[in-house]
Amino acid sequence: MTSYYDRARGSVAIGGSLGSGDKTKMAASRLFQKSLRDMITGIRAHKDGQREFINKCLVDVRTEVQSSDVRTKAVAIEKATYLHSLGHSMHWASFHVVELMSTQNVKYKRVGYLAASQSFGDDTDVVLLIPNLLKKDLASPNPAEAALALTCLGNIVTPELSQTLVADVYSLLNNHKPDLRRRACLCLYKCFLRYPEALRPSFTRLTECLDDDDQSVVQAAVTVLSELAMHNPKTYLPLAPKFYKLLTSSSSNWMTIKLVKVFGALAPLEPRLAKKLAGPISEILETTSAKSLMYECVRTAVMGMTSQEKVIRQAVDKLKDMLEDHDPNIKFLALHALTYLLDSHPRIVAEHKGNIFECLDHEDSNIQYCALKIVCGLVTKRTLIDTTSVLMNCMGKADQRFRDELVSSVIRICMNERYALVTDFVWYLSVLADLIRVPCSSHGALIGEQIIDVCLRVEVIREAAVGILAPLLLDVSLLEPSNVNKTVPSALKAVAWVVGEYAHHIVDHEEILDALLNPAVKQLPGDAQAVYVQAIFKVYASAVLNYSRGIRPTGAVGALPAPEPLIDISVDDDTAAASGAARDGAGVTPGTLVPESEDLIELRDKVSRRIEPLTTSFNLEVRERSCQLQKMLGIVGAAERSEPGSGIAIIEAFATVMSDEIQPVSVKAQRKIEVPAELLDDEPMSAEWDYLLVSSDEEEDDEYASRKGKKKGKKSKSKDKMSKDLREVAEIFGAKKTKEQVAREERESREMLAKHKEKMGQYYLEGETGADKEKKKGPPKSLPGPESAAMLALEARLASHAVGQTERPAIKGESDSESEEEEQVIAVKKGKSYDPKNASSRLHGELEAYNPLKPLERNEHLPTVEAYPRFDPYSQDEAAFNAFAPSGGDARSHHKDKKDKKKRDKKKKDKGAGGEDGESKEKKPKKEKGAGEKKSGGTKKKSGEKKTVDVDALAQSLMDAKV
Amino acid sequence: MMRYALLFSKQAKIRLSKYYVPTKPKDRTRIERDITAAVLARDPKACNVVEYGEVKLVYRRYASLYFCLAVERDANELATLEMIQHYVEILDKYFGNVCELDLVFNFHKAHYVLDEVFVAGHLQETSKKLVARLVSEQDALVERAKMGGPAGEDA
Repeated sequence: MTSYYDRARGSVAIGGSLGSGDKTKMAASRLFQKSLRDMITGIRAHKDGQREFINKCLVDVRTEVQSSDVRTKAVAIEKATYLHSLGHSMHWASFHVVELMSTQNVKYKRVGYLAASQSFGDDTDVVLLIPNLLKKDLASPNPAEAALALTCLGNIVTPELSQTLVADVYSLLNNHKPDLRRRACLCLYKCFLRYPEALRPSFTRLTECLDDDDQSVVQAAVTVLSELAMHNPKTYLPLAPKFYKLLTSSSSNWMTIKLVKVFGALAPLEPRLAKKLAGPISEILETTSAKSLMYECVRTAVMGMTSQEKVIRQAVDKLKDMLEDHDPNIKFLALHALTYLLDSHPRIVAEHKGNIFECLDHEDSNIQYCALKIVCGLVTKRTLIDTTSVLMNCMGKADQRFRDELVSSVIRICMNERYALVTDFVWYLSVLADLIRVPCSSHGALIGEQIIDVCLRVEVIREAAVGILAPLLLDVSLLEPSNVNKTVPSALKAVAWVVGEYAHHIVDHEEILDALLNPAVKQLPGDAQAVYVQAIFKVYASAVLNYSRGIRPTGAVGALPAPEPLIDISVDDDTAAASGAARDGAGVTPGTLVPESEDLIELRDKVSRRIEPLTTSFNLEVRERSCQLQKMLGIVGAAERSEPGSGIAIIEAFATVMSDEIQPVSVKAQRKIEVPAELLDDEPMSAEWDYLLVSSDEEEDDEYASRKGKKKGKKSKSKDKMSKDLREVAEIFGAKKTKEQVAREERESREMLAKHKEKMGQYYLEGETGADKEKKKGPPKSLPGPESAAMLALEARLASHAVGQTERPAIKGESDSESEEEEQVIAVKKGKSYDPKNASSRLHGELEAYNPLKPLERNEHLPTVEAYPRFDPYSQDEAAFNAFAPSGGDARSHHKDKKDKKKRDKKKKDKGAGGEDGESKEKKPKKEKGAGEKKSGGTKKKSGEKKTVDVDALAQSLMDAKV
Repeated sequence: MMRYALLFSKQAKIRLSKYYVPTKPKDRTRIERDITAAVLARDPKACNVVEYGEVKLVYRRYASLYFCLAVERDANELATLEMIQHYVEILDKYFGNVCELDLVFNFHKAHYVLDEVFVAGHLQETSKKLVARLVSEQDALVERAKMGGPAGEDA
């Protein structure tokens, strides 16, 4: 640390002493300017007041940047760039950045370009000022300047910049320096992304780059073309032979990876390609020691060459080694690659089951999730129970998020495609019951839905279901309102419903009633409480029925759910029965009355006593239901007192009604009901309704009021009159109204509605407007009336699940679901063909419209500079900025002839050969580089093992030099 | 294509950031905050890949510094790791046993080296030697410019 302070101080001293040279003003500005190092040291030193210090620095920088001394300005911009990296905007400096970019001194130019590439964005307005500047630098004889401009353009390119400059970048593809050719290649790609029209004219030349003498240029071209091909493989299929040639001759692993990858996208489109590729890919798999290249080959094999069994085998063998690797990266990638094989070769994947199951316990969540995905994909009917138990075991060790994922995976596996894999529903129910107890789960509601769905549809498991689920009601710890139980109530709701609905299977009614009446139930949310209250009554009724049937010698004995009705009521007419039974049920069949026993009296008392707290609940539903229940029990008690046995008869009547089974209803059930002949769709709903609409306009109020008198009670009228009325209505609604008018109309219509309601009260249902009443006519007989709104919702939801399998226990609702089959949305699995889902496909969206292989149209050329208004911000202000004014003339003449590219290229080459003294020097390194490239390609293969050693050494050295 | 490159310390301080796709300042702050949090929370034994929105983060830790590249979902993770290694090795060669402070005080130089290695989000030069030479060539050029440049009274 100290050494840095020293160095920093030193630099200030030097800067100061040097600055105090000739021009006093400049010297002064330099003398008092903090250097970049100074500022960074200061920021680091001011641990407490960092914000103030930075603000002070910003103020300083803002004044320094105005300086006419280019050095001061450069330092200021450098500092601003640093502050920008700390998150402080530097948009105020953009104009000065442009100034710096236009200096001739490379040192300051570099600072300017760095600042520009860091801080300029699509919304930076000064970007409009830089096209000419960039153009000049791109054509600069100094390769460093061109390189700077290319790099910067690659970062900040906007559609406008691209349109203006793409020709210049393109021309650099012909530069004699491989370094620039390479950069230009990569930069072009960014230009295409922002300005897709540029792709087609430059495409031919780009493919020519694949044959470049310099390996690094070839690599850049491969990079760009493969990137383009990945997002639109079909269009680029004709490039396959070229890529193939490169693949077999490439010596650079980096490039081979790119080529192998692009073949992964191309191979699925052309079956012959996979066959042809099998050789090279398998050779690379055999020989390479670079893990990255091997992985790419494996991925291409599993994604694009699923038809080539031999290569797949080879790839999977490699994957096996990778799975056993200790490096978590390798393990993760191996799992990831296996997911691609799930669809095409599930058997091969299943061979590695042991390894995959182990990964479920891995400490890395990525690996866990990936393994889970494979496990879910591998499940079959035979392995379902084992797999589920493995997953359940994992829940203990997993962290909360993953545990949640495990819960939902288990359910998804089982419920998928209408329980296709489940053969034993009792087992499934016990799994669901176990899942409720998983702490902190967020899938309570889903579990609840599943429980109800299974119980409703699979008749034979209901008895077992009550046995499995009852213990959950008895468990008081589940009622505690804590974070651990956060979604348990929604599951308990379903449990209570099932136990109540199939109460005749309960062994110990009193125990269940005790559990349902537990004071802790009040802590559950209102909707769950409401179901509890309903369940209490059902269980009580079932207890009574059990008793009476046991006593009565003539009655049906046993656990038959639907006994012969003791009282003369028809089951079809259930609403009438429910209300009628309470009133006159006692007198109908007096001969079979069974008097209430001591136990039952006690039970009834207990229920009505303990339901008491719920009758004051704030939840209306709970309150209403519990009050009803209490009153009903009171009536039963009174009836029992006046004539022993009549109270029991009432309850028995209820029990009979409730034993009517609820059927799963398809969502489309409504459609299957024929429209009754008397239902007239075209008719207006009612004359009254029309009147309401129309009368809301005050001008015609009187007229309509009088008409109303005439129309009253008339239902059918002539068609033309009606259409006229409708037209008027439309006119009224189309007209614009003032606020007061609207308010008044609203008030009036409300009054009108109230009046109407008074008059036609019997047609109004709760919470229903008059509009609904016509449609509600004649509920289908086959559908049992829902008991409550909750039930209604339940049914609707249940109906949406449909089941189908023959050898399993009969599942209800199957006939309903047949027609649904085609609409059933089956989880979309990833197809075989390559399907990029990343955001760059969005970037590429526009590019796809431009097929680069289509021949150029007659007047389609590279966009030229002339397309863009020429604007040089410095041409007029030479006096003010003379220090960095561009020496414009040269660059402009250089670009005069844009249309004939070849000519221009030639010119350039001439210029390069003649004008630049570095040329002869440059040629040598180029060759050297080519050789070096090949060498490095050769050594790369060995570098697999070496690399890890290098990393360690490097990490060690970094550690030693720690702050 | 690489979306952005981030270098940050164990204390979640950004040491270097480079965006290869247009990103608004507000998004940058969010991205940097999210990524440092996501990466720093990971177990050292966990794998070096994190999925973040539509990109994949590949990171590697060197002493107290994290090097993190955001790449496409379908990019080769191992090759990306090698790219990081490549850059670090070049930095190491350039600074001579690079340490975090080198990058703090010479952030611009780290940028210049980065620009030599990656252009427009693609690895452009795979030869370490060549990059080192290009960087030093540039530095020499700058030195020369210092001497003879129009405003070069420094020397």
